[in-house]
Amino acid sequence: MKIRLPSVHWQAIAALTVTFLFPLTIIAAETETSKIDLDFSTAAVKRGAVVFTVLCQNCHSVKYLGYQARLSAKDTQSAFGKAPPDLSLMAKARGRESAGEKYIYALLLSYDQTPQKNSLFPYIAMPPPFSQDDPERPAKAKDVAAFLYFAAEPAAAERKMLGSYVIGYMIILTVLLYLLNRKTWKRIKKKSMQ
Amino acid sequence: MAALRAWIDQRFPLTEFIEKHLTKYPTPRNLNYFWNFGSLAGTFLAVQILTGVWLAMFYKPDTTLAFDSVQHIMRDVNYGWLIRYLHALGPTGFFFAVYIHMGRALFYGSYKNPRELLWWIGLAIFLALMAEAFMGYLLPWGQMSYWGATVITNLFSAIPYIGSAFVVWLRGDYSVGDSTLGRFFALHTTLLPLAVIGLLVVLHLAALHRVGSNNPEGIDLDKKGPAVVPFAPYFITKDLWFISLIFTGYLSFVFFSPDLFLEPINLEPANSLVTPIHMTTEWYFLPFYAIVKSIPNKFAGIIAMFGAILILAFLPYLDRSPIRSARYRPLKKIFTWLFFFNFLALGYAGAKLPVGGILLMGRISTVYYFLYFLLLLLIPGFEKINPLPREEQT
Repeated sequence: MKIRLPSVHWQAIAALTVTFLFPLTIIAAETETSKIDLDFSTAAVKRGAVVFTVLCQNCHSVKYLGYQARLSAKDTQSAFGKAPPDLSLMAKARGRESAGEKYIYALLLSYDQTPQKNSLFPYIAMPPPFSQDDPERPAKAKDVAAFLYFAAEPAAAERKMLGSYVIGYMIILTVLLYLLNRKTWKRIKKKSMQ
Repeated sequence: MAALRAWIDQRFPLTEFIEKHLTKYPTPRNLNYFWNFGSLAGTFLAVQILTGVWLAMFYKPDTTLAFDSVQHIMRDVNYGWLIRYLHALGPTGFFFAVYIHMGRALFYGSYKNPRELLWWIGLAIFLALMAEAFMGYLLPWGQMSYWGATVITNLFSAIPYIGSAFVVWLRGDYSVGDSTLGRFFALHTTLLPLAVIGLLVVLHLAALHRVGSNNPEGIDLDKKGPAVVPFAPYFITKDLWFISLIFTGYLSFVFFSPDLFLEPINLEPANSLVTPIHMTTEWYFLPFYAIVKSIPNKFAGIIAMFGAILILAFLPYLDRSPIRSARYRPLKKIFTWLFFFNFLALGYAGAKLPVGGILLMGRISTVYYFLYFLLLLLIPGFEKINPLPREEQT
């Protein structure tokens, strides 16, 4: 008597491929969009926090970190026509992964050609954040972007750190459970060969 | 221990229940991995309920506090970020499992006699799940939360005569506001998950255990024969390792890339004066969103969207072929695979703006979505069926 059993192996391989390969292609596509070289280091975040308190905090708050704007929203609104937004979540509200950080970096540096107006985002009311002859403008913009990216999700570093342990554990668990399953089914396969 | 067991069994059918519904439940041994997605969906449901309880301890269903309370969870609550990401990405896993589970039923004819009731209870779960996901999405009170709820509730204004009054009734206000948030929170955390989804899942399992699992060959198997094995240990280990595999993928998104499944603009608080530039839905609603967008008349669009789900309930009567598994029905096999790819195409069209080629693609896919059911009705008349295997061959 010939008995057909589902072959565990090819189905396992197919399931693995679908589960992991497909999302990886999305990640690859997402991260290839821009070639801006970002700095995610803690040092950059700290420098960015200093730049923020000196330059940006006059008008902008980062309320979830406790940074209040020095000028009242009413005053800034009457000066620029719009109330300056809170920047707590801006770095993640403007794009997935690091796209939002790149957005902020690009925004801060797009005052070059027309000093009083932003060339990339003509509708924003913000005047140039840096003086135009400041040679450290790109470095400062990068640090502020790093600071705001941190501000948007302070737990991100802990999340990734913990993640490697969790995934390591899950991989070992999955392999062990797979072997256990193979062992339980071996009994039936042996029986059905007779 | 044995004495305690005996004491309980004399008063409550504990051993009987465990044996009937778990350890000795007769399961066809030829099930392939497409039969693993039901237990997977159940696991995601458990994760959602557990994480949901903890989120509800810290979340504030009030338009002035909701957004801040989510950030409070993300920043101040111990491991709040983990609980929230698990809960926010859970529906992705849940719908992934449910769609494959339903596709399996479609392909192997699991909706056919005697499993019609099982299929209908499953569809009720699917509908409840969609309502549950939709209401939950309002709670973070971000821009997409607010405008998504506005657009979807607004769809009902197209109903003739009672439309606008019905929308006010749904929202509890003339626009989405505090009363909408309150009722969505109440329904999302109590009635829908526990009474509806919880109760329906129990009914789904009860119906399944009456009729037994279908199998890839689609033939009836003798429950005492060698083709059927007890659930324990064979399907316990098979389900466990597979759940562990899928959860490795799910957790890698939770820890390394939660952004992929979250809409960035939803990190801006709800603002009734500013509409997001590009309106979209969560990925699992996209195919149905595409159907609405493909039809120029709003009311007809809503009918088609709900009809797309409702028509599934008629499957046992539309598909009259006595053969369950598409393995032995060459025509159904082709059309069903086409239906699956068509469903993905609908999802793609749903994610894009409905203009030019995308609009045309959405419309063709919408037509095929419904045409498939007509084909199922017609093909048994001339389909040449491959010979079915005998039980010993399974």
